[in-house]
Amino acid sequence: MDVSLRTSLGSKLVLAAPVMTASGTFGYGDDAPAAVDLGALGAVVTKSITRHPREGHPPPRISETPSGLLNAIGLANIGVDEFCRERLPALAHIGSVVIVSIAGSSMDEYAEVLSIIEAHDPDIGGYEINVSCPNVAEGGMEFGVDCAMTESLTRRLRDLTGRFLMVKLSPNVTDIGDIARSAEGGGADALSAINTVVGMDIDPASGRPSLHTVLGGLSGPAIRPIALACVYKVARAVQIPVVGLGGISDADDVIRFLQAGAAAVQIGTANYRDPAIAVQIIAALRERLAGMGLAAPSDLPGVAA
Amino acid sequence: MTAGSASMAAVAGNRADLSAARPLFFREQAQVLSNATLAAGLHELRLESPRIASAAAPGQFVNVLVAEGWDPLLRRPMSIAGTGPGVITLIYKIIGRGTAAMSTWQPGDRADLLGPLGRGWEVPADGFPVLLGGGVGIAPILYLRQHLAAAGRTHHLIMGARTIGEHFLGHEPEAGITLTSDDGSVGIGGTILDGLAHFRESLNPSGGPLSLFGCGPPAMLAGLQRLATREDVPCQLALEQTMACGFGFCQGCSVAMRPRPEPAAHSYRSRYKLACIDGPVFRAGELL
Ligand SMILES: Cc1cc2nc3c(=O)[nH]c(=O)nc-3n(C[C@H](O)[C@H](O)[C@H](O)COP(=O)(O)OP(=O)(O)OC[C@H]3O[C@@H](n4cnc5c(N)ncnc54)[C@H](O)[C@@H]3O)c2cc1C
Ligand SMILES: Cc1cc2nc3c(=O)[nH]c(=O)nc-3n(C[C@H](O)[C@H](O)[C@H](O)COP(=O)(O)O)c2cc1C
Repeated sequence: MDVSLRTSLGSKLVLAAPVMTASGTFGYGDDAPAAVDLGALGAVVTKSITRHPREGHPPPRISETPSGLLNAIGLANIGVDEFCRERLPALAHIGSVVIVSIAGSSMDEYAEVLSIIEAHDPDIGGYEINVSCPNVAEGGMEFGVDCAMTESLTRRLRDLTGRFLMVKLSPNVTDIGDIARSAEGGGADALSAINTVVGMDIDPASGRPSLHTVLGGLSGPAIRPIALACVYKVARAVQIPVVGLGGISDADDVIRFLQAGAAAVQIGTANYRDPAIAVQIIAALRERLAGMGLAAPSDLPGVAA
Repeated sequence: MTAGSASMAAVAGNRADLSAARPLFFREQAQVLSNATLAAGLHELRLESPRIASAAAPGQFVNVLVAEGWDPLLRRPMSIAGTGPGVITLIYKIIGRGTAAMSTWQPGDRADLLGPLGRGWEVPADGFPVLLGGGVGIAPILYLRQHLAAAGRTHHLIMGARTIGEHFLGHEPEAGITLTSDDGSVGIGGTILDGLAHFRESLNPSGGPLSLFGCGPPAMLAGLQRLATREDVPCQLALEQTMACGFGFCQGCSVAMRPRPEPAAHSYRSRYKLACIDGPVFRAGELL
């Protein structure tokens, strides 16, 4: 059977496949290794971009845990000016839809970054808003852990762009369904879930934390069950499409997230093993669906009761 | 697995337009040719890896998959210790699960590699090259030595270890090899820095300009850096910072740089560079 992987995320974005690469795990889109067929990807989500370049945290920034990776990169990135000058022009030609991830430490910063990019009338698929950033004006509380902040940030950005706008949810909240509804209320076109899970490790011999910042974000297969539960909850809480991520490493994992209610997925940490893994997963997904006699991912049955 | 490398190769060929600007490295299923003990605690792994072998330069590394499943999650970076026609050599020390898994590989097994990665040594035209390898840090040093030998460039190798059993070369200062041992069981007794001091006194008494290349444990690198700064000797150091991807995507392997006199208010990869794409070889003077 011929399988079509074409996937719409609402009315503004159509993807060649329901699989993207996740923010912070695949560069800016134009710097992927030559060997990766970007044209096969649904989309590339860029590293989160801030108003100014950022150096990020001192070392150590990463440490490995059982089937997981702890990181505290500190949003090291080139900043929006260099992004628009050096990267944006090339992104129209990489063969894949590019979704620009935006981060900030104040509402104004998010708005400024988005406006600067909009002013270039770029050939991009839209934006993903990384709300897992401390709001300096609110004593460092992350935007994404508070319903009111999530809603007002989403609305502020919604007013600045007609393009596809996706809010990326943090799992480190009391009720991710409530936050999801706030982002939907603020006008998001889609939601992605999840960002990393707060975590920590200690070297028992020295008593030293494994990361300079002590606390970090856990990713990789270790968080897949958490991510799946979050996606399931979010999909039941909102009407807009949900993009699932967290520990996805093969086509079966993709199917799990689609069955939990996601319309598409992102591949993060697995890219570090092989930057072509998302391309391979898309090919494997096509085969799996054909083997199941399905014409499209949307024909997958939902989660069985 | 093989599907992965095949698709990468095909695409690399098709996209000459973009690949010019995009990093070029390969995922290769390398066949194990041999995997043997080289000295106490050191193992040598020879791999048939034609694409990586033909693209590699001294100081570059490969990222080695050590698990079929997802635990351990990350590849293990290993310096290339030498190349032959279609072949690369790695030298590794067993320190944990990944390197223990590598030590079980038999001839005929497949090893899944990404590479060649990183920016290697720069060999300046002047200065007598002195190559310093401490323990398993000898790996990228031996590849540089192979390169210098092939170019007919005379040089001196100083290898340091704790004791004679950890050495696999002979102490032959006149032939360009000085060994050091902490316990004095072979070569010069003391650290690799003592070996360097000895070389300068007895083998380079004219004090002609040197060019230093070092890789080894943190204390050795710190000592070399101090000496290079104090005496203004050109010196490059290969670092072994923990990394997740090896090609710049994760931004995890940050290395602190010496602050600029007038640092910009906002910057990226100025205060912290990345060991995987800015290094692993750095000039001693730029490191904090
Ligand atoms: C660019 C580069 C080149 C390298 N070249 C070589 C080489 O040629 N030969 C070689 O044997 N090793 C080399 N290394 C180090 C090698 O990658 C690590 O020894 C390896 O990842 C350890 O894996 P493991 O699973 O055996 O140990 P793990 O189980 O991961 O670790 C065991 C213990 O060692 C510590 N550790 C892990 N990695 C490092 C490290 N890089 N430095 C210091 N402590 C560490 C861990 O914190 C832990 O306490 C290189 C590293 C880099 C970044
Ligand atoms: C090293 C690293 C850097 C990341 N940087 C970002 C980032 O800049 N912005 C963002 O929204 N998410 C970032 N993430 C989170 C991932 O996009 C993803 O949400 C998370 O890792 C879970 O998916 P995974 O298990 O597939 O990696 C980062 C993750 C890692 C491991």
